[in-house]
Amino acid sequence: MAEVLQRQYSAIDSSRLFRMPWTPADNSLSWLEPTRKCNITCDACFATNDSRSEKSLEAIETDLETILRQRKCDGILIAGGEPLTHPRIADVVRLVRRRHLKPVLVTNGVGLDAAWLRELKRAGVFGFSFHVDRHQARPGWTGKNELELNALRQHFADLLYQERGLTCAFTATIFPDTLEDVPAIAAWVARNVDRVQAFTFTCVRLFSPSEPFEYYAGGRRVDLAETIYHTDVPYRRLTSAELLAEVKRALPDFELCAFLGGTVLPRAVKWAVGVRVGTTRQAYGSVGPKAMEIIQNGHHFLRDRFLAFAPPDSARRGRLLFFLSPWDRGVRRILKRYLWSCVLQPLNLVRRIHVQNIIVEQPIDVLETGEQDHCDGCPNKTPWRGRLVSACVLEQYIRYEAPIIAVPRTGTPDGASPGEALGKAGRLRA
Amino acid sequence: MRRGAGLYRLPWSKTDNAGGWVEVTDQCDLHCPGCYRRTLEGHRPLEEVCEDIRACQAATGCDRIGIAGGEPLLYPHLTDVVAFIARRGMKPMLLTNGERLTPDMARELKKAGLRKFHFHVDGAMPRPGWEGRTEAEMNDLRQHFADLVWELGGVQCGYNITVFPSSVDYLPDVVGWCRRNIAKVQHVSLVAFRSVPLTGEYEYRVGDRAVDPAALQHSSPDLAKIRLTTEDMLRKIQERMRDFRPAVYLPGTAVPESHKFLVTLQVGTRDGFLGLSGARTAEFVQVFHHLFTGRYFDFLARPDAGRKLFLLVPLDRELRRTLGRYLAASLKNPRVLGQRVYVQSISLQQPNEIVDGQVNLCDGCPNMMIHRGQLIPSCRLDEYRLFGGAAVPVRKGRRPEAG
Repeated sequence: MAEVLQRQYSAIDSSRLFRMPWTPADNSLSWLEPTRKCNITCDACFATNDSRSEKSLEAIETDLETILRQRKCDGILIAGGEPLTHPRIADVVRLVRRRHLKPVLVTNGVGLDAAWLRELKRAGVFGFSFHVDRHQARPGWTGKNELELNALRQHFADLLYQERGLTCAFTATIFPDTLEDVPAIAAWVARNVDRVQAFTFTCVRLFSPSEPFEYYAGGRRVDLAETIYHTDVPYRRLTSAELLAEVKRALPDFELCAFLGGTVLPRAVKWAVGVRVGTTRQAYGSVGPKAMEIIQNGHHFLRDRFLAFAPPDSARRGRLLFFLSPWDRGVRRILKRYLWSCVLQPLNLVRRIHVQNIIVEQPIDVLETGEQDHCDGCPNKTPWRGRLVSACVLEQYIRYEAPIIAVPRTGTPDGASPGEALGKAGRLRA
Repeated sequence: MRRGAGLYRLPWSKTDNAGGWVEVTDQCDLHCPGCYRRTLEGHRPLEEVCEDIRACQAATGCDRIGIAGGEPLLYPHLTDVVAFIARRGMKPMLLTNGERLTPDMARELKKAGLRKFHFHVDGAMPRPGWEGRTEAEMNDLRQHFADLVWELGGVQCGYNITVFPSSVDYLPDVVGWCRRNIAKVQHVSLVAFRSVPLTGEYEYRVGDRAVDPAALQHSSPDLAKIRLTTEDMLRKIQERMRDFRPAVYLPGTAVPESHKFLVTLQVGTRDGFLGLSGARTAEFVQVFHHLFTGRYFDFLARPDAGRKLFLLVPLDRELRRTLGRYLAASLKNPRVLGQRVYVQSISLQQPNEIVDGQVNLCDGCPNMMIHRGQLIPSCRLDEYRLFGGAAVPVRKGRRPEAG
């Protein structure tokens, strides 16, 4: 059965989750890289730090046109490299804003201060997604653990909160040795429900030389040691289910509502989101799949695009969600808890109710057949020679002009060729 | 046409799709050009077919299952398969050339729960008694099947027509026939002929192994035949019918600007065609269907949407025009007011093809099937059966590029 492989690669039951309606041609987000230059070094980064990779404003505009020719989207992730190293980053933001898209900077935040933030805000930046985790060589923060890094996260969250009107998101790449820190991060996220609108936990992905594959790209054999997918950090393949379990240790009532499946294993949970609702003092619960369905499809019906980031003002008007209670059991439960809390503490009637997304991601899996299971409906597509490719594999196209493919090592015990091995894997599942 | 210019990209994805597919046999009584199925296995065991249906429903959450082949009417347990699909709360649809269909058999299938016949009828088929006919002349046979299903009642009627460069000129005749039969015919797929090119430019690989595409039924050295696009077909129809405008589409996986499915929604009564329904109506109906049933749909339980369709005119300019024509027709002939209002979809399709070395499949394909536990596009089944996997085109002298 397919279920065997499915369980092996994803232990979350996706049958009750809403499949986000995002597709290659009609999505919520796209990915734009003004540069691949970076000012720090992170373990398992999927881009080579290249100081000559800075693009002109014209080239960036061409990239943007390439994206919009091929898909609808609501937000543009301006990423890299480190986008803040681009000397004309404010103009890049303006470029995106002029096309009525939401510019969101994916940044490590190094050097970002209140003055710079204000300049970017004037240029029209919609929000920030800060990449902060322990596996970064960040000046002044090396050797700190995830718990200590919460202070840095707090710094960025407060900075944006004081500036008002900007969406604040974070990502953290989780390694086997930081998995146990996830509950501490999740607890911090929950405490900051008023100022952090989204937090993404991503499983680290590397190609491991210990796996039974040979790698090829664009006509030649690839030695993993020459790629960026190889580090000396102890590695094992984490899953979104493991991340979810750790988040739930800190937030027991956290539930996922929507997901994206895999391109090969359709029911694998490659990307999943849960939406928490609460005040800074109390969590009321997570919304269910129907609420997300109404929000996404409703937004598309009214605005002709799927919703990427809600503006922080609407994220602070959690009561609006109560209108969805006739359709969504999760919202009904939240409403019930809220009303009960108002009986006990009437002040809750006037407190702000916040909405916060927590996302767990499980990037590319190389299955035993050598097939690569990508996120189906990937929001992070980026231009390469007029086409759109997933940002997490762009490096392969830049370097080899083709994706790296994994071929199961020949000389399998029964001497089967890889093609036969594929057929056998098919039978395995059946 | 600009990508998505006013068109709605159907919300179908791999895991949340309107359609699923199952093949009960690979035997057939006709050998049509463009067929992509070889006879390798014969009739499949009923239990295996049911298991695939169950897995397909679990993987895609589909609303209808297309029963195909081969020619499913040759399959001895066909009514069991239909009944199994219906019992699981999905709509069974039968893809057939209709050669063996008798009124008795149709009644039996209806009793088992069949919701739609989908007849493959085109002039290129080597059908005894119908050789050498033009596509316009084939409308007579389509009329025969449409009348048969209409007599039966309660089962919908659709057609598959493979379109070749030689038959593209007849498309307006076919669409014209569809418009006259809008009450009897709910769906027509006009599918551009495609085959795997054997030009020497590419070799084909599965994993690390070279495979021979000539082993596939649908490989051909003739490149001139496989260039017809949905846009070409649309232009050809619009030459004679200016009021033929698509509302929804599915893009290609490799080339998101391509329109692999390009669907026009026609509205009319028994007296004939009135107008169109637009993208907004399609989006509204798909999204609400999903909100209340948890599924998107390929076709609704009833083809006569009725006058309540016009409640959506505030959303949809196309529908407003249609309402105008409906009211004008009613003024001229009050009898129209008492007639049912039907919706018919005309789907232009451009299947699996190679563009710049990439396989361009339909993104959101509603015809995915389970093969050995794996969800695959049904048009590629023979690659899995013969080669153990999907064949990757590689320009001669290079290693495979994408899985």
